[in-house]
This record gives sequence, C-alpha cells and structure tokens, in this order.
Amino acid sequence: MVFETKKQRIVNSLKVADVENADGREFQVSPLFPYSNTSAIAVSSGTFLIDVETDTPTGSNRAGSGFRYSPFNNCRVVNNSNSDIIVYPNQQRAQGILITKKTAQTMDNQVIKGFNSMIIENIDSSNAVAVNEVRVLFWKDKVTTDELVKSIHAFIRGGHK
Amino acid sequence: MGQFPQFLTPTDFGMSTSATAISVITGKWNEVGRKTVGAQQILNWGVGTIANGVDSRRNGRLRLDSLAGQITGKFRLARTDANAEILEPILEDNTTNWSATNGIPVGFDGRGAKEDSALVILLNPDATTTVQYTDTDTTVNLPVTVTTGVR
Repeated sequence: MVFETKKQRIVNSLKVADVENADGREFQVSPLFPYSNTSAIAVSSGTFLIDVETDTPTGSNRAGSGFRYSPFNNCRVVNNSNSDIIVYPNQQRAQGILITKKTAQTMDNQVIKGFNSMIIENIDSSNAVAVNEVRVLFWKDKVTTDELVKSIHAFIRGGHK
Repeated sequence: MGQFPQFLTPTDFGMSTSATAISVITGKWNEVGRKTVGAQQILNWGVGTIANGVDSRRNGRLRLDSLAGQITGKFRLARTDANAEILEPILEDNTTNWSATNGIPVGFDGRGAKEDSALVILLNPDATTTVQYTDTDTTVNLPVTVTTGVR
C-alpha cells in the first residue's frame, strides 16, 4: 500500500495531467500526409479541392488526420498528368502557382507561410487529369526558435490576428 | 478609435453578380467569399450580444444557388490572417437556417481580423455543384463590427 501526503497527491495528480495533456506534436516534425485528386479534373478550368480538415490522407483510414499538424509549412506537388495545372494554396485564387505536366514542385514556408487547403485547377483544354495523377504531400518541419518566440508572443498578445 | 456596426453584402466578399462561378465539393470546406480588412481597421464578425436578459444581436442571412436552385449544406464564417496560414472558424450553421426569412443571430465575436487579414465565408455543400453568383437569389447580408483608427 502506498501512503502519500495530501501535498504529494496533488503533485502526483499534476504530473499525471501533464503526461496526459502533454502534446508537443506541434513542435515536432510531422508525419508525411499525402493527398491526391480522388476524382478526375475536367479540362479547361476544372478544379479539385484538398481540404486538410476533412480529407483522408492516402493510405489512411481517418478523415482529417492531418488537421492536428496544420497549418503545414512544406508542400510537394507532383503532377503526373498530361495537363498543366495551377495550384492555389489555401484556396487563394489570386496566388496561383503553375506546375507543368510531368513535373514536381516543392514549396516551403519561404513561398507560402502555411497550408490548410489547396485548389488544383486543370488549365489544359484537351486533357483531363485522371484520378490520382496529381499528388500533394504536406508536412511540417520542426519549430524553429524564431517560430516558437512568435507563437509565445501571439499567445500572450491574444485577440485579433 | 471608432466602432460601428456594418452589414456586408455580396460585393464586399467578391461575390457580386459578375464573379466567376466556382465549383464546390461536397464534404469539404470551400471558400466562397473573402473580405480583406482595410488599413487601420479591425473587423469582427457579428453585432450585439446577450446581456442582462437583452438580446441585441443582429441577424445575418446567407444563400447561394447553383443552376439547379439553392445549394444546401453548411456555411461557416471564419477569419484568417494575412498569410492565410491560420483559418479559424467563428460560426457555423446549416444553409436552411442561414436562408430563413430572418436568418440567424450573429453576435459580436471578439476574435477580430486586422489590417490585411480577412473574414471568409466557407461552404460545405451536401453535393458537389457549381456556385452561380449571377443567380438573383444570391443573398449575403452579414453583420460585422468595424473598428477604425487602429494603429
């Protein structure tokens, strides 16, 4: 039988709470979260949306499993199709990035600060993009000291963004 | 600093009748409108509160149509920062409530959007379709609180 003082019981309960509630995942390198166009993308401005909050990563059975780590600060788009596409990070239609057919492009947070969603637009007038021909890989690098300081500052400041 | 209520319309969110139709996919949160905050301003979703038994909240209405009629699903009001890195939902309700005669109450929310950040409208439709902004049934009448003279 373990005897513990009232003070020790409180300390132990806090330790348990720390373990149960500790979540340093947002500061660690994330797993890789692959997505692809799960339906064909029609010619001449057909679009497909990847939404990290609701979509199931390729090979996963859990919708939104990437949401915990978002916004991601790295993205690699592989265009295996015969069509040129434009990707719009975070559905921002004023900030499209052209990715020509049979090419790939990597974007880090020097290009886009964070990824929560992406629209893929087929700008080819002849070739549709078949299912799974465009693959998008999201991941998050570990937090740098600069980012950590910014997060703490934002947390303390709170309020408006 | 000054503060006053304002009602935003389709044009404020880039959803005017001249806006290009966009495809929206079921099961996903599609951005259908965006209002970027101007210089030296803060915009907060909603006007009014419930206090001392008095409900001073103003109502908002939303409706978007496809060629087949009203798009059903859920609307979200959210805010995002200038880099579109953070997307924070503020209020969500289904399209039936949003398009009702009186809409739904949209009370003041303290999480505002500063200069160059944005208030966004997201739609999660019940079926994949295309939003036709030219439809005369398009309705956007949303209360916001504007704070000016922010430095």
